[in-house]
Order: sequence, then structure tokens, then C-alpha cells
Amino acid sequence: MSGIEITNLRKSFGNVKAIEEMTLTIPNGVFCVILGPSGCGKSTMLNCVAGLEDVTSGTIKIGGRDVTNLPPHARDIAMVFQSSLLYPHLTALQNVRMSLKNSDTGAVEAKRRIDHAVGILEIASVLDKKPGAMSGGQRQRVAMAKAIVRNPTAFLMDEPLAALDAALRQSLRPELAALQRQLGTTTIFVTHDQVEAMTLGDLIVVMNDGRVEQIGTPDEIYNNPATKFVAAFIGSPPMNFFEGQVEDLNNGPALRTQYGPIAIPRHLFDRMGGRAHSLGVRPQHIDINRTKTDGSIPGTVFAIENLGKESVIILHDTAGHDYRVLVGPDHGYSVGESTYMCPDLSQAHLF
Amino acid sequence: MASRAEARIQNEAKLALKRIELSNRQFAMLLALPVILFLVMVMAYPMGYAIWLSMQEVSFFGGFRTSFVGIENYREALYSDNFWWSVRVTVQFVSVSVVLAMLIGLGLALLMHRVRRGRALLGTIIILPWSMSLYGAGVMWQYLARGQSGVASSLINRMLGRTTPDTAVEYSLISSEQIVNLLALGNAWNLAPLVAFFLLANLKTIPERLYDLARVDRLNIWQRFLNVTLPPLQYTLFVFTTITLILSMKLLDFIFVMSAGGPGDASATLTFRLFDLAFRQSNYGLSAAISFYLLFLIIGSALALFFFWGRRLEDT
Repeated sequence: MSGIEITNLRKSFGNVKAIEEMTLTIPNGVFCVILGPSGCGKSTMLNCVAGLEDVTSGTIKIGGRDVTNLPPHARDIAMVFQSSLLYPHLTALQNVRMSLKNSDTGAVEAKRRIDHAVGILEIASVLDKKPGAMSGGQRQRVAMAKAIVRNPTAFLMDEPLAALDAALRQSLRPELAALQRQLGTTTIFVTHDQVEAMTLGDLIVVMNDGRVEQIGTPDEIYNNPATKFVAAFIGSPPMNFFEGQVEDLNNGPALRTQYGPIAIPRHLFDRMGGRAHSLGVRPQHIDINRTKTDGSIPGTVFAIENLGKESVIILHDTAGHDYRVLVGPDHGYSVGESTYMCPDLSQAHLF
Repeated sequence: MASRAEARIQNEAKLALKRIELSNRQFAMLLALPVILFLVMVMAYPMGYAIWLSMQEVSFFGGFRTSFVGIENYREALYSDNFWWSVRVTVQFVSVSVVLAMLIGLGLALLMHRVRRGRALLGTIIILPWSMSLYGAGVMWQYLARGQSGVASSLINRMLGRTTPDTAVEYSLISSEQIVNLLALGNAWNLAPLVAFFLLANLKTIPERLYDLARVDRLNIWQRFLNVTLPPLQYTLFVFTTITLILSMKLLDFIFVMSAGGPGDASATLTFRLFDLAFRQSNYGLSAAISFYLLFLIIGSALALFFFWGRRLEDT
């Protein structure tokens, strides 16, 4: 059985195109993360899949069934909303029951499913509490229980962890991943947090401005970013970009920058040709030295962020562009020093 | 030596702090003190005078005289059919007023919440009835409801095809058996806008996503209203039920202008009855006694509302 198939999905609000065109196939049981900055159309896309928004054109299939024109409750989905939204005046148990209240599930089966969900999520102690009296983590668990009792073909989650503090988010992430694996339910998880995307997703869809920038596994997205946007969005600290014009010179291809040419490996050049104008290098793939070497780029130390086992040195070039370089704890540099950056070109990307 | 001096200074500082430290409750009392004093000064004399008056027989013949009659006035009221009739009218008037005010208020609030275009204009139109003086409202409603030129006559004549002066009949809502309900409608018309704006403020706090959750849960329109829209309104509904209840019980001017307690005493609420007794029949003692029964009714029903409803809201 197939999971979720989205074909040529478009969604406009008046003249504003929220989703330009999207085709996405999520195999059964896969945890798919939709990642993008706010306003990129990811929540709209989820609303379309849930049936909370009508599509402008395109089809959506869930479990092989065309649900494009069905109301939300008929799509065999369960949804977890931002901040793990629950009915504020109902207790945890009543909230969970609400999922089955108007379904065709019999009383015995409903009780079995609720008991099962309560057991899996360990929420027996908060069943009589109202959301206002629960912690953020407890609310999250209740919202999950409310979702899984529906026994749906797909889970749709709209930034459920966004409102939690960092420590709680970190502890809930692996739990959520484990729960999804255990249930084997196809999941779409929307987030703007790249760490959530990288740690949770089997499949990541990076969106920007209503368009899909790249679809791939976390490894593919990180190691082979398809666009400059993806390269800049994924990874922390973010990738550095050296701007210039790529040309095939006598002694091989190079990026002509204001500091002189930077030689580019032939295989990168062959793929992009002369169209490229920026060279992307991750912070861990740049060396810095106090002395100028061939092809190095000058930069002044603007700030140093000490992360304990490593440090991020933020450099400014004369134009004021930021570059981030990851170094060991004993780097010995200080703010204001003049240095030279040497990118490791075997690990570079051209855009 | 130095350390001893230091200790002394510290000790004094501590004492000074202690002297000015107030608990929250004490501070609140302090802030409220001026207004409490003012209220006592303004209220105590008329209240005391009314209590005294309610236990006097007042006569005007041969000069103003009063004689102490104890609880005779209170007893007389309880044995009077007029009094019990007025209690009945008051209960009907207040119940219908409160229910209508809350329902119309809720309806207007939902309307304002849903409307996107022309919201400011709509809000202005809706608040207008509230900004009108009750005396003016009484005049207007009386014009609408009376015979000849009133809406009721016009509608009935129009429906029966009587469009010429010699066939038209006079039908007055003022002199109908519906007068109490009509008064309550006018009162609710005046009170509902305020209710609506406070409810609207509550409606604005409902997260839009909660309606999406209700859709995923397949709640029908009534379940959605009960589980999403209504819960955040409960406290405001309670507060305004109490407020409209009290305002309706002590309402006089609107009734005075619109129906003057009539026809006969069909719409003589307790307020109208005691006004009539005091200022038309000069029966001050009985009137004062009835005013205390009204006060008990107001306090009693407000407490009952709190006991059966408001108290339960506090833990949510």
C-alpha cells in the first residue's frame, strides 16, 4: 500500500501563490519532514493534505485513495497541531475521546484503543487534568495519544514541538521518532527547525517561496544540496559562500573573486559550467592561517563563539560579508586579528 | 566598635523595612479605603433613612407626621396581592430581559466576529442602542408599539389589506398582554450591545486552529459551539448575566416612559410599584419596605447565580 501521493498540487489565495507546484510521493511508513522558513507554504501544504484548505489544482492520495475533495474527517488522517493544541476545557481523557466521538468506532474498540494509547504514551497520571494544568511535554503526549487512537493511515504534524523549550524538545524528538517507527504510520511533519528535520526525517522536503527546493534523505540534503537555498538553510553553523564569476582559465577552472582566483575542481566545474557564481564551503571545511597562501581569502576576526569542544570564528572580509569557520578549542586567535581562509575545495559546492 | 555600629544600622534598616511592609491584601484595602469611606458617607444616610422610613406610618393630613409601626409595612406588603403581582411581573420581566440580552448579545458578537468587510461600521451600528438614554429608548419604543401610528397597527392592517383610513383598526402592543415581554425586549435591545462587545473580546482569544481540530474530529456545528466557541465565553456570560439581572431588576425609567406600569398594572414591576406608592400615593412607609424586599431579591438572585454557576467557573 502506498503512503501519501501528492501530484501537481497548487494552492493560491487570490493572487498570492502559496504553493506553486508540488509533486511528492511518500512511501508507506516513512517519516517525511517538510522543512522551510516561515511563509514558505509548508503549513498550507499540510492543510491541503488534511483537507482544511481546498486545493487550487492537483490531486492528493492517502493510502492509495484519492482524498482531494474529501472533508478532513473522511481522509483517515490524524493531526497534531502547533503547541499540541487541545480543547482547553476538557480533561486529557475527554480530549483523547473526542477523536473517536463521531467516528464509527464501537465503544469496546474505542476503549481498547484509548487504553493502548494511554499505555504507550504513559499518560495515565494526567488523564483527569485539563491542558492548562499540564506541562508542555504532557500536552504533547496527550495530543499524540489523541492522534494515534484514530488509527489513521497518516499522521500530519504542524510544528508540534515548536512551543517547547530546547531541553524538552531534545528529549521528545527521539521519543517521537521511536513512536512513529513502532506504529509504522506514514507521517508528514512540518517544521522550520533544521535540527528537527535532520534528526526525525527519513525523507526531507525543503521548501522555499511555495516551491520544492529539494527532496532527499538527510544525508543527501546535507552532502549534496541541490540549490544554494538548501545549502544555506541546512547545517549549523551555516555554509559559507564566496561570490564571484566562474571561468575556465588556462590553468583550469576558477572562481574569480575580488581577492584573486580560487581554483575549482574540474568535476564541479563540469556540472555547473560558467553559470555558477558562488562557491559554498561548510565551516568545518575551511582552514585559517595567519599567513597568506595561494588562493587564500583575507578576513578579519569579528567574533569568536566558544562552544566548548570547538569554536566558531566569525570573519569579515573587506566588503563586510560573514564567514564562519569551525576550529578546535586551542585556536589561539583573538578578535580583530587579520587571517587568511583556505577552503577545502574537494568538499566545496558550486551554485 | 565599628561592627557594632554597623549591626545597629542594619537592625534599624530592618525595622524601617518592617514598618512599611504591607501584605497584598493590606495594600488593596489601603487603595480601596477612600472609595469605601466615600460610599459609606453617601450610602449610609439614605440607607438608614430608608430603614427608618420603612418602619413608619407617614401622614400628611394636618401636617407631616410619622409614627412608628414596627414591621407593619413589611407585613402589609406580604399580605398585598399587588405586591405579589409585582413580584411576578418583575421575575418575568427580568428573566426574559436577561435571556434575550444574552442571546442577542451572543448573536451580535458572533456576527461581528465573522464579518470581515465593514466591521467598523457594523460595530458602530451595534453599539448605538447602548449609547442611548433609557428615557429616550422608552419614548422611541413607545412610539413604535402604540396604536394608530405604531408598528403593530401598521403591520396588522397591512397584512389584512386594510389600507384606507376608514378600514384601518387600532392595535396597540402597549395595551396587549405581551407588554412585559415587549418591555423586556426593549431592555435587552439596550443592554445587548455591551454584552456583545465583551463576548467579542473573548471570541478573539480562540485560536483559529481549534476550529480546525474540531473539523478533523468531525464535530458537528452544535458540538463545535459547545466545545470550541462557548468555553472561553463562560466567565463573561456569567458576569453579564449577573450585571443584566441587577440592571433589569432596578430598572424604572424605561418602564415609566414606555408603559407606565400599564395597561392597568400589567407591567408594574417592583420598581414601578414602589415609585408609584411613594410619589403618587405618598405611602412612603410601604414603599420603603417594598424597596427592601427588592434589595433582598437582587442580592438573593445574584448570590444564587454565583452559588449555582459562578463558583464552578473559578477552577477553569
